[in-house]
Order: sequence, then C-alpha cells, then structure tokens
Amino acid sequence: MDNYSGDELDCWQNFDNVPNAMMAIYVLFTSENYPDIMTTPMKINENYSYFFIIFLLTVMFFLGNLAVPTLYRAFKNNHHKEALRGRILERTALLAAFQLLDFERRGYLDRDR
Amino acid sequence: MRRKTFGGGVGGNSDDRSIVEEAENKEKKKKKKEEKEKEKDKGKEKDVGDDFLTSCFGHVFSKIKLERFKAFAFLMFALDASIAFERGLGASRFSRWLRPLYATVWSSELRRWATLILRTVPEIWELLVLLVTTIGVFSVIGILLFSKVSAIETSRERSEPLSVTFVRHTNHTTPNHTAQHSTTQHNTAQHSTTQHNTTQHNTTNSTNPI
Repeated sequence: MDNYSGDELDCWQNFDNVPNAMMAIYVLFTSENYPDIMTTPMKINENYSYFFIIFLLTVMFFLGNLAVPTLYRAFKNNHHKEALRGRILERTALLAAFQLLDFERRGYLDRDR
Repeated sequence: MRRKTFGGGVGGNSDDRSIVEEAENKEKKKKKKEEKEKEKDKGKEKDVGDDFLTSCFGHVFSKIKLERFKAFAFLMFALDASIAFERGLGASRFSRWLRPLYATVWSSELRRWATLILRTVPEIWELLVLLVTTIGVFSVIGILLFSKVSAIETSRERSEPLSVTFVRHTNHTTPNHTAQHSTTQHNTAQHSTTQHNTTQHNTTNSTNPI
C-alpha cells in the first residue's frame, strides 16, 4: 500500500511539465478526481477557476458529447454498407448458381434440377 | 430501284454514295473509339504495372485489396521471423501482441465485427485528433498558469517557507532536497514527519558551506 500513497498519485497530476499536465487535463476531462487537480490552484487564486470552467464547457460538455454521436453515425453507416455488401454478394451467388443450373438458357428450372 | 435511279438520275446515285459514306464514317468512328478505349485500358494496365507490389510480385498481389493485405501480412511475418532468427526465440517480437487476432480466423461473426470496427476508426480519427489537440493546448495553458502553483502548494503543505521553494527550483543543493523528498514519500505519518524533515532541512542548509 505504500507504493500507492497519495504523494505518488499527486506526482502525476500536476502542471510541472507537458506529460503530467496532459495527464492532469485528461483526468479533468474524465471528471474523475478532478477536485484533486482543481482545488490546488484555486487555493492560490480563485480566478484560476475560470480556466477549469472554460475547459469543462468546451471539452467535456461539447467535444466529449460530440464523440459519441460521431462514433454511432460512422458505425451505423458502415453497418449498413456491410449489410448491403452481404446482400449483393448473396444475390450474385444465387444468380451464378441459377445460370449454372440453367445451362439451356430457358429462364426457368425444372423440379428435377 | 431502276425507277429511283432513273427518276433521281445522278442525284440518286449521290444519295446512295452519301449513305455508304456515312456508314463508312460511322464504322471508322466506332473503330477509333474502340482503339481509344483499348489504349485507355492499356494505360490502366500500365499504371497497375507501375505499382510497387506488381513490380515485386507480378500481378498476383495487385488486383484486390485483400490480396494486398495478404502481401503486407506476409512481409510483416517475414520480418518477425527474421527478428526471431537473429535474436533468438526469446526476443520481443511484435507478432505475439497480434495473436488474439487469430480468433477472427475461427469466427466469421467476430471477423465481421472486427472489420466493421476497423472501418469505423478512420472516420472518427479527425475527432480524436481534435480532442488530443485541445487537451494539449489546455495543458500548455495550464503549465503557463499553474507551473509554480504546485510548488507553492507543496511548500505550504510541508510548511516550508517560499525561500526554500526558490532554492529547490534553482537546483542548488539538489541532493539534499531529493533525499528529503524521498524521506517524506516513504514516511506515511504526514505532518509531524514533514515538520521534522523541514527542521532537518534547515539544519542541513545551515551547515551547508555553499
């Protein structure tokens, strides 16, 4: 348990360098434990809260919610295309089988065939 | 026909000739079109022939995308086998991470869903890039705003004066402070031990000849 103490968790969630800052912003984006990141600057100056408010409005409430319908639309379009492709393949295979059986070119098949 | 030729005279013959000429012209145009189409097809074949894969493997792997994918997979596995041959079987090979994809061989439904997901990812690629870029921009702004805040806050939590924090950030007497930081991390009893460490830190500063 000593390896997962609070000090080591806090050492990843700060704004000292770019990777740690991106990790902190990502945690803020997921809205998990975001008070750990947000309260530390707000203790220094309450005006720093505007940064977090702007971030939450633009990224979490706008881009985050934009990702789900985009993914759904792309998945739905591809699913329709895949179903149509399967249907065309099925009809082509049936027509090929019919042409092979109807080698006399009569346009119909007997019950024997 | 005689009446026509007789009544029409020279004009009837000219009509016949014009009709024949028109038919010949049409045939010539058709031949030219066919020749042009053949030339276009030859050009397309040349373009396909200039492809890298066709130059390497002939026309085997060039016509269908699936065949190109097979060629790519074959090259990757050849590369992986060469790595295993040179460094031994215990070497870290990238094909081991792709072994769960063998499940798509046995299940057609799984293969269909896997291809569906693989086709969906490029369509949301732009949104992912936009998201990562936004996070990067906000992280840079956060560094510009809060890079000193964490140091100030940690100094407050450890009840250190701001001068000690300044010394910490000037990288002078770094071994003393890193040793102190490691001791504070290992101690779970927080406040009392940090006070003890700060007193110890002050004593080290006082004894430091620099």
